[in-house]
Amino acid sequence: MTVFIILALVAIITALGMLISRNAVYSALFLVLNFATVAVFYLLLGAPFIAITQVTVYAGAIMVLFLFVIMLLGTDELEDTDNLTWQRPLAIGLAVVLVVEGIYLMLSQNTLGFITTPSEDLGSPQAIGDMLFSKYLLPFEATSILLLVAMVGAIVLTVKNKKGEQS
Amino acid sequence: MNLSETVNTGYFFGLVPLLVFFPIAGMLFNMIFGGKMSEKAIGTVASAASGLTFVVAVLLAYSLSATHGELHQVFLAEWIHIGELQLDWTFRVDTLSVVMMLVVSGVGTLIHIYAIGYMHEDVRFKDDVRRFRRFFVFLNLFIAMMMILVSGDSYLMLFVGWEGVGLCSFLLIGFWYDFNILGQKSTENAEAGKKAFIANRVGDFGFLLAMFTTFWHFGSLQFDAVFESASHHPDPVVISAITLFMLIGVTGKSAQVPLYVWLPDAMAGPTPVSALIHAATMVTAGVYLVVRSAPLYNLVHSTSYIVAMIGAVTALFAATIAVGQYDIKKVLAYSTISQLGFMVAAVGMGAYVAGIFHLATHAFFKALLFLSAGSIILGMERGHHHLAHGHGDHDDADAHHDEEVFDPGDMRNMGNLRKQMPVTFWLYMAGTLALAGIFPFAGFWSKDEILLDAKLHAEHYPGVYWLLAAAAFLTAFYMGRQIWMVFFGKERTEVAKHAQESPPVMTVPLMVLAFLAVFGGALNLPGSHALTHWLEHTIEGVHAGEFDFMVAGVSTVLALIAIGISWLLYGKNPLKAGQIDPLKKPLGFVFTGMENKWFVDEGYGAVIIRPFEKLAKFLSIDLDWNFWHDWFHNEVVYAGFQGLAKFLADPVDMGIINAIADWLAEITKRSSEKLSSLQNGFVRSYALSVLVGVVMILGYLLLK
Amino acid sequence: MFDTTMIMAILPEILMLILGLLVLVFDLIWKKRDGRDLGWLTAGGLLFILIVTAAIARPAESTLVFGGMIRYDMMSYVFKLLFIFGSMMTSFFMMDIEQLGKRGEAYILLLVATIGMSLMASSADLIMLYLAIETTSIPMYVLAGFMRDDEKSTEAGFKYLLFGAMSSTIMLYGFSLIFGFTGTTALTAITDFTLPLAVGIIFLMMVGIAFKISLAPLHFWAPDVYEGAPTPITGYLSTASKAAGFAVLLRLFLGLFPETSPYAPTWTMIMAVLATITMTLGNAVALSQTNIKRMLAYSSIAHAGYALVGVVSLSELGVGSVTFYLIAYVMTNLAAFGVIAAFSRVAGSDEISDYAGMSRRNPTLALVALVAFLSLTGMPPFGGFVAKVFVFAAAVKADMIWLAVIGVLNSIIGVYYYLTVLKVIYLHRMEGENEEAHPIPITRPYAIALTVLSFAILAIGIVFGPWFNIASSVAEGLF
Repeated sequence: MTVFIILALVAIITALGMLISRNAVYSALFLVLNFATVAVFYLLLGAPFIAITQVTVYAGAIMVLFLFVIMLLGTDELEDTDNLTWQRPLAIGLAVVLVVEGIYLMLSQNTLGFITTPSEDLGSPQAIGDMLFSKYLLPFEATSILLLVAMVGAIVLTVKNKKGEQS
Repeated sequence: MNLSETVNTGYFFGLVPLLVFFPIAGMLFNMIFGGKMSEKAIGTVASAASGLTFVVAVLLAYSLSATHGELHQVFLAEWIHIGELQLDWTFRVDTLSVVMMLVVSGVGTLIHIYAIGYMHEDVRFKDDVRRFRRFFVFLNLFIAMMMILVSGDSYLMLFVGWEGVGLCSFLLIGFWYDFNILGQKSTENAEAGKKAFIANRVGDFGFLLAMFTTFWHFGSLQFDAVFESASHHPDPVVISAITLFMLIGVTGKSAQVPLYVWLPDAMAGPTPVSALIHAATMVTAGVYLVVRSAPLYNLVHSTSYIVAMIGAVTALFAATIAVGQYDIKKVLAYSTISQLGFMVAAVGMGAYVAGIFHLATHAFFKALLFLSAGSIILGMERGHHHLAHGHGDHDDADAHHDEEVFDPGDMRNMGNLRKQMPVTFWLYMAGTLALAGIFPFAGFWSKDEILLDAKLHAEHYPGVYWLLAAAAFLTAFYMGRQIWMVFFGKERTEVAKHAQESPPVMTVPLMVLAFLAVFGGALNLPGSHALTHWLEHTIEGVHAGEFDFMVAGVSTVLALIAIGISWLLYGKNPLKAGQIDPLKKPLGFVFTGMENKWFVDEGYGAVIIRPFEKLAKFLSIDLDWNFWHDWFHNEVVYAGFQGLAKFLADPVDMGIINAIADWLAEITKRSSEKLSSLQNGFVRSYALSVLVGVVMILGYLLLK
Repeated sequence: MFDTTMIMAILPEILMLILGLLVLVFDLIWKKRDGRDLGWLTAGGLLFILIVTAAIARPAESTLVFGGMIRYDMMSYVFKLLFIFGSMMTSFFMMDIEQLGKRGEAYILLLVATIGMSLMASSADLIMLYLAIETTSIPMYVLAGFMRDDEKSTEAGFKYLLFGAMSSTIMLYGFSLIFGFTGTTALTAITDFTLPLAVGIIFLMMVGIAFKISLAPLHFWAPDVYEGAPTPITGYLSTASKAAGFAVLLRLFLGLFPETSPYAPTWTMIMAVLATITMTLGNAVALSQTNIKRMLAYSSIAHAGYALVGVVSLSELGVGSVTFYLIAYVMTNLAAFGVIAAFSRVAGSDEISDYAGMSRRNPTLALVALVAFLSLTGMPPFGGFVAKVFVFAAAVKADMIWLAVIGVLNSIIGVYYYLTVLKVIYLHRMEGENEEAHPIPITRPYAIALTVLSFAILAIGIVFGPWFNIASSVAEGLF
């Protein structure tokens, strides 16, 4: 339980750090930390496969990509160009209210009693693989289409045509 | 009933939807491909569509006669099914509708063929060759609409066709919308179209009231259902109301007093239009409506008397006006109104067969007369152009725009045309004799039957006979006047000397019509009573009349006397150029009245139209524009609303300007790659709004 | 293992995928061609798919297939046909836009978005639903930002992405909670949910859907995205994408709150209030717009409000009316955006004032605009009128007369700004009054699409019987 609380705090702090930080590289690194924390959550929940995937894909591949982009673009520090300053305290206030509402919601009903326990081997690669090819076959195939189109989209948005006629 | 049943039973009832779809197909074909087709091709397609419609009508007639005139209904599609309102598109094939179908499609096809030749020359005289296609598209549309009208199985379908033909009438009257009748640039033709539409609208309003009342009282608009209910529960007040409202519609569509004023103006349309729509077919829709509603009219004598009276009064009134007209088509127009009066009077008296008989024969000879008049007009135009371009210099191509305005339809410019246009002359004679009711032409038999019925029913319908007889007298008179003025005597202008005969594509259909005008009486000769027996199957209480020598003799004698008087006035001493009409002095102000259509249009203008325009101006300019728009709307509503809208739009707009300004600033700082880092200031506000919404709604839910 | 029902259930998706791959391949190997050829291929392929699906993929009864992932019923059938049709029209509109239609990638993005929408309409599982939403959204993000030279387009794409990601996140959180409490992701699990917490969770789910249908307060993305995106894409976004959201909403809402549910009154009240705010907001702000795309964006927001009125009636008539409304709305809005696309191609402007004199520059195009805008207003004999009648009738039947009244009042406000556009088109003249010298030619794909759409609007408005029967069959399948 304590482990969870500590990790939760870490996760929240790194997330806030990512938002608040003025330096793009710092933000990216905070995000990596956040991902790592989430991976640990997965381990705690008994889903080792997802945990490793989280680290590999997110922290390993995606964040590296981010960092490459930041490096290539050479972003400077952001200046404080906020002229809607009244929004910030309002947002913080509303967030607090939301949290309060959430807590009230959880505590007012006996929510904890309703949480189901998943089966033992839910997180194992065998189970995942089994599900992916039987019950969740259609989403799996749909995902492949999605990945294809994401690639196409990425190329469309970024490629510079050599002939220069289409851009 | 559908096509497979057609094959099985050997009868052709299933073909009835083709009545509508052939003309529509012709119309669409010309619309889509006409741009690449020659004039002959366009005309052929249109005429073929009309011709095929006639073939279908013939097949239906055959099928009906083989099944002893039994009613057949062919369901096509559901239209509106809401609650108790069940309205379908069903075709009704009975002896009455088949008669109408045959007349409309038969005469219509002949007119299509004629129009190929007529429009070929007309578009060249008006210098706009591209409009040729449009004419035939409209003509086909008209045939389709008329078919819907006569084949409908309910008042609703009839009304759809009713409105449709009204639309086509508007489109075709104003066909040369940028010209006037003399060929000058003007909005007169368009005005004529508007007048027709508006006058018909007033009539349609009456028809709509009749339909609403019918539905409200009888719960259905389908003919059989209505007539059943009416016979079981004849509520005289309601049925009188229905029939009177319908009468308003009839006076509009069939040009009776008081809504006839549009028909003379409708002569602004090309002559085939006048022939088809305003003589043979559309205007007869009102008569058809009354005959169709015979069960209702039979129940209320008072209304049917009003119908008969309106018909008779119109017949005489219009005939008097025709006497004083100088334009060849206007004479025929008023003659049409007068003859329609005969028909309406007939059906008002309950003489339905006589009315339909006259409808058919009138279609033949009036179409013949109009088309021949068209032939004459074109002949005069040809002569006019021959004079302007043949004798004069050839590089005066635009000269004819500067020439004096020449009215090819004014009878005072004609004279001795039988020398230049002999074929047209004989055709016109056939039509005239038929119209005047001279034995043994078609008009004699049909008009005579009406007069006979008027005499027989004289006790229930007093006065009708005398009015009709007087109208018949005048009919023969003004037609005689026309013949002498146009074809005899000496030419009153140079143009008349050079008038040219029309080509066969125009004269051959006329010969067919002439044949029908001469022999059409065979439809219902006193011995065979063919039409009566045919219509007996549909209309109740119809019986064959006896031939009365007295009536026939009196009417023939009257006609001959009238023609004789006209010869004395116009034939013996033919009019010279510029001479005033010999009737002017003896009749004095009466003739002035006839010449000026009894100032009815002026009367309407003063009493109805100008006050209406004043009211409309007041409502639109003073009330709506100055008060409502300028003051109330601008100051009160708009300003207030703008404020509110701006208030709502500000966070958004602010954000955009903010974001774009910031973004542009960024762009100048670094190299501009397309997806450079985007300012997020403004999405932030959106997210904030979402947060607000979420918090509020969640709060509301929790408190519940 | 595979039976025909399974194949039939996803037949359109399979065919569209094949078509998309074909487009990609042809884009590579077919060297000597005009970019439009791919457009014709897409449109023709979609027509083929439409016909095939309509003919043979009609479900006999509602069944769950693919392990409970999708539901094969009338609703998915009808909505799929609608999406395929909309997609076909959009590809016609896309064909002649520089930068958009000349590239094959645009077509495959369009096709995959359509696949996503079809899956959305048939989803019966949360995971499938989420994937379908993403499969729809991601290509649309790219398509919205497709014109890279146009800063507005890029901005639109980016904003759409951010906003979409945010609402997806919230929705996903709701999904995770549901899984946590019920142990399953099937949609039927939610409908058996008796936990009071359900209300909050359902609300979270609704956030995602509300985003898709641009319901207040999640409508803010719409005006900017609609204005910035290429016009045919805007047309597709505002119609099919919204319809897909409504399909999901219908499934969820009606599954969750049958007559017996105690939450129904609360929820219908919330939805009714949201509908009111949406309608009013959309109409009110549209009044002050000078850019026609932005105006139509706000108008689309308002229309979502109208459609929602049918949903809150929670009856068969309600569902039928919403489906009918969506069908009519798709046709109408596509036509409107098609006109705008055709116009701005030539005239290069989206300002309403630049439409002055359009009736003289191209009378046929002005006529299509007339049909489309009058239908949006809700004027007979166009489809929009009948649609509004049914939706408000459903509200009245459900004793929510006040909602119908508000709807009617809002329609009246709507009349103003729609007619303003028509007034400018027909009654105003261009500067210099030489419209003859500045005609607006429309190319063949536009002519075809606009003609079909105009006839569809008229057909739906005049002979509405068969269409309403189809819509009602959707309703029957749901209950």
